[in-house]
Amino acid sequence: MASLKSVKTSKMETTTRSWTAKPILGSDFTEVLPLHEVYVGILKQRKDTSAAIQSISAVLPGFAHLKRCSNGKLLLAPLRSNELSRANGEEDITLGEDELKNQLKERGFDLSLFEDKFQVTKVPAKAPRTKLQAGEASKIWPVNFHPDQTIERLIDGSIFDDDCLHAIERIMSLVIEAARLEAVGDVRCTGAAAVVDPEDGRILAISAARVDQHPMWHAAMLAVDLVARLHDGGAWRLNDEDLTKRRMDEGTLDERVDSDVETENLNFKDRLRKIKRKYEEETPLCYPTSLSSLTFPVQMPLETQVGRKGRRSDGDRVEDPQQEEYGRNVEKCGPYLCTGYWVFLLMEPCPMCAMALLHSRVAMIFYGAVNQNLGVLGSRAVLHTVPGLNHRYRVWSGILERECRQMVEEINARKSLK
Amino acid sequence: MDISAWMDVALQKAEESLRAGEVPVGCLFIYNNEIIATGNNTVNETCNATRHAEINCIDQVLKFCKEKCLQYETVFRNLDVVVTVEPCIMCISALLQLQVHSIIYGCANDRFGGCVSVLEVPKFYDPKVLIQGNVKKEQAMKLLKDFYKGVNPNAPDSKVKRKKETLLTEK
Ligand SMILES: [Zn+2]
Ligand SMILES: [Zn+2]
Repeated sequence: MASLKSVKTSKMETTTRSWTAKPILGSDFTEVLPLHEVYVGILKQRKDTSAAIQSISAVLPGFAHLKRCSNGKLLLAPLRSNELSRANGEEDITLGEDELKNQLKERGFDLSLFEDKFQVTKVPAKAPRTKLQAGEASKIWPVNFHPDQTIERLIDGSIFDDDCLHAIERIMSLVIEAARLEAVGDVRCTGAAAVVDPEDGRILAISAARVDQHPMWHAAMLAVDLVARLHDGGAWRLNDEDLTKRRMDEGTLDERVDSDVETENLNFKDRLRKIKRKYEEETPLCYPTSLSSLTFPVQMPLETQVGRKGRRSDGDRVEDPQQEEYGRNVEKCGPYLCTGYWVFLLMEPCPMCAMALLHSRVAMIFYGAVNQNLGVLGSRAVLHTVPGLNHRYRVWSGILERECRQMVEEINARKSLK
Repeated sequence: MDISAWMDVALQKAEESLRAGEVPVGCLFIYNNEIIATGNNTVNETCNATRHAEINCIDQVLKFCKEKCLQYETVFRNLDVVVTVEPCIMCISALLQLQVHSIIYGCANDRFGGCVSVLEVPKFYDPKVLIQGNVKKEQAMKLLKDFYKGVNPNAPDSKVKRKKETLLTEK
């Protein structure tokens, strides 16, 4: 639905991949720009062009996304009142040509510059957001457009280099294996999930849906609670005893309670130390615990090429400034929720899981198979582009798409066999 | 009891939360004319951003069912949810997946509301669940506003501030 064209491997690249990562963007970036009818004045003499542009911009401002004049035709005003007045519940009023002429005359515009009769033509009603849209729009009328480099890199796929795509594929393969081993979902949402710290590539948590045990145990919900557990929290009792992949020697390191350390500051430092140790010794947390028997890929940083999204500012205006702020505080205050982490899902998440990940402030979501039934990251809605939400993540679909789709079929068939 | 009386109880819970310096959201799960779950937001406590009042109540109901040897599917289908603020997109999805009998809420949740405010989640789900909003919304809204203003003199500053941040970001 909202996915754009695929990731191209760079020109030097010979690797062929069975899949392409497709960014899920808002309709602003993918739609064919709507057109609306406008009046244009035909200049009698081309030499008057710049004077006419100046004069019209003063009396009738607007059309910021378009060149005001093209081929001796000057944009004057839309035929119908704009979206703004419509949003205010006003009537859709058509502006008459004589009315417009009177307005221009009243405001001191010299109508003798124009041919007597105005023309009506269609032009793009809103500003293009991508090169592709700008190209299409300018076939209709010349546009003012400055490409957003980050958006363009998302669309043409150059945001990920080959190493990064390899790493993404390896993590998604792991997610597929996790689903094969344990997933029990339903028609709404199924599969497995992995949460990864992109900075060092550490897999923090891996989970498979177990709705047979608990109706809310979708893979993403479980993964979020596993990460909470890493931060010394967590709400569900997910087999406390043997959650960890590498059984640790019962944490004798500094489990002792510092009874004489009273100040909150020291407690806080203690907590940070504990969390850091957990990151190093207990990850990846697994649920169900049998997932710890999987072969985990070699850890490698994911963020080097992508510019450490959500942690450091890269001047990208799509980025969530709040998240950046949290990122800056990570060293100081310790990790907060899943801020900045990347999440890998077998299948496009249901609204519960998608919103849980949004509340948890993850930076990126990668999924393999679409969820036509209830997916809200492309299929039924594009949650992360809905206006008003105060955090956003980026979403990529199509990672090992065929394999993920096959696995969804396999685990669904398995369920109906029982 | 009728809707309005249950909402009064929920508002009372919200007020208690406000007095304790917590996010003033009251949430009741009613089954057989009895409150079987009532909950708070525990995001800070659990370091888990999904621990909204409704999610905590769902877990309480599951525990209730286990103890009473009841089938949770049946209990949820006969259960009414009364909450002072419109459930967020995540919570309304959870409730719709459990096919609760009805969802009654007070004021709108402009940040994350999943009934109408931010995303109309119910349109993705079948069968349809009875959802009614704007029940005593002024009172619910007033509690939230008081919370933002920091009207509670009993609460230690840091706690109020932290909870406010929670409300801003998580509820
Ligand atoms: Zn889900
Ligand atoms: Zn919620």
